[in-house]
Amino acid sequence: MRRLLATAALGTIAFLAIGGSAPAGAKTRTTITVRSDSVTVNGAPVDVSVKVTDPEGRPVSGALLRLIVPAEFMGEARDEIVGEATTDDAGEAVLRFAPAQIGRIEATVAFWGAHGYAPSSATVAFDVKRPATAYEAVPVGLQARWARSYLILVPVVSVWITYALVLWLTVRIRRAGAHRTSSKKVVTS
Amino acid sequence: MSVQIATGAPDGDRLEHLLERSKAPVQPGAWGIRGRLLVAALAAVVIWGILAWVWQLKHGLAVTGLNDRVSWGFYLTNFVFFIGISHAGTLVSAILRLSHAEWRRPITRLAEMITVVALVVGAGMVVVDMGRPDRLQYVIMYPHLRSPILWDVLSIGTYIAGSLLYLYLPLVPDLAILRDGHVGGRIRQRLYSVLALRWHGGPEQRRLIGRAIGIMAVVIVPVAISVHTVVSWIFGMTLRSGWNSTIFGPYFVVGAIFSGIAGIIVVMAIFRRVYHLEEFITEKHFRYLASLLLVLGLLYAYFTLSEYATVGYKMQVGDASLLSALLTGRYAPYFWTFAILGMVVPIVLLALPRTRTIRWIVTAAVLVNLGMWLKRFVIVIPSMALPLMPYEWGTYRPTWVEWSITAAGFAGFALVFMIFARIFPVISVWEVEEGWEAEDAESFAPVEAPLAAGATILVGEPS
Repeated sequence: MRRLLATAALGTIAFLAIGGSAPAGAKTRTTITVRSDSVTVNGAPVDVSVKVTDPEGRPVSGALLRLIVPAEFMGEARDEIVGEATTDDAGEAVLRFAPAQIGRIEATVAFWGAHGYAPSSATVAFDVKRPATAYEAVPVGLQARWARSYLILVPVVSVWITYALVLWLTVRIRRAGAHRTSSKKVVTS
Repeated sequence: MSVQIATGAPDGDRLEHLLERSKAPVQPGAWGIRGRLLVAALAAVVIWGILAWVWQLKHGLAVTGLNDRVSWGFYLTNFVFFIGISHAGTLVSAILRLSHAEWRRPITRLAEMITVVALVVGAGMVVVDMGRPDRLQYVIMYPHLRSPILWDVLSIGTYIAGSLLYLYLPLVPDLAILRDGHVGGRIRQRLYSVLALRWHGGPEQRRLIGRAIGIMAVVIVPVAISVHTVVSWIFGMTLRSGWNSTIFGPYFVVGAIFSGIAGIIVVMAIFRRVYHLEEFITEKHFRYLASLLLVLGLLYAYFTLSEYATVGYKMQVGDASLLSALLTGRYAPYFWTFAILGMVVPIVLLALPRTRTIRWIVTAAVLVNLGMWLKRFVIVIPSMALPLMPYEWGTYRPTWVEWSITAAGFAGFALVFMIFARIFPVISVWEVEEGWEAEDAESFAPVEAPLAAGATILVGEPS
């Protein structure tokens, strides 16, 4: 599968003068480099490898990264955070997510800034294919003509009729007790 | 239908001792100080659970860890667990009765009691799980016969009614003993008198009760199996990963009997120790039940392997995520605790001759029950947490409300059991006596079995 190298500086917000002397309190600019499979299958987990560096190319460790995908829920479009990871000492992290939709997804890897580092983000695109299936399972219920839902009551009613029979036997036990006879022991089982 | 009249009589001292021991729990002051403290502690936990439920009713299910992704949590786990435990009574008592297993006699009452109490607690968990239990009657008022949830209501309702009947019928002769022995105060005497059905042990009464027990023993087995099959269909009739399985019916039934037998062993051990029933509930009973538990454990291990191996081999998309979460991911600690402590270790303990002692058998049974609760947890929650839409995995963290109600469920089970044992004998005196008579009178013709009685009533008297 072809690999995509997406290096982006989208949304790289610099509070710091680029290449010049930094004003007091300004944050260090960061760059996010993303590597991932560009083609994947619906539902299959895909790893998004991310590296965060500063302007000198030094790794930024401890940066909390979020993987955000656009989604639609009940007709309303919104962004969903589908994965989180923190960079290690090499400034690297792996975000894993399993796309649930079909088609092209443009996901965003975002670092919201922390520890004197400025926020940054990068985008990564996936072409999500439909998984290969022999057929599509569509629940339609039992289709036989004789299969009527009320048939479920047949065994239930049969059992309750049997219970009624047993209750009738208990009434007979009580009646038999009214005519006290010999109390010799009787083995029934 | 013929009746065998016994001419022999069991040893008088032995019978007296049995009567004394079986009546001991129902005598005034039987609990003692420690028993009363235990009852008070259990009642306190139950009251706390009821208060938590009232809190939940007032503020809605938002006070639980349930959410839009994971809408079934502890309550449904408890429901499946207790319904599983309830299989103990039926399948041990009815099947052993039908198969003429004579050793069953001292333990059938305990098993039947477990069934009724576990069913009531289990069914109660479904009501607790409902955000609006005041709408429960809609299930009956507007039934949707295609819904497995309605099937569940029907089968559990039928099972509760049948189990009560099946518990009550063999209790009748023992209630007459309590009535005639003037045990308890006026209210209890009145209760025993009404429930004893004017029993005096005459031939006609014996014949009728033999028939009734026989019919119930035949009918209750398929009802019990249907109950856990339908419980499994609540899950298995969906297309969700982890639940979409064709073997869920038998898998659940075997799991239910497995945990049910373990439940009997634990309850048996407690009652044997507390009420000094060592003479009647012997090591033989533990060893026989241990053999059954071992067979069921091996069957359950086979079903578990079959279930996960077939899913893992195909690795359909959703199944792959679920399986990795279960085996190596966030649910792995629960899954492997069940697999090792709840299945492998008990099987080893039950299989080794050196550990087939009461202590180790009870240890294995406790582990099975803990493991099977966890198993129900990993059946219910991960499949719900698995995202069906492009979201992260759902999360479920039970709150104090769920912990409290769960604790109340288990405490309630123990409390109802203790109260039940306080009113009714825990050993079926007449059945044990009958077993002694059969043993003593070797010249007897073959005794009539309830199975034959049941068959006769169902197909008619032979001409």
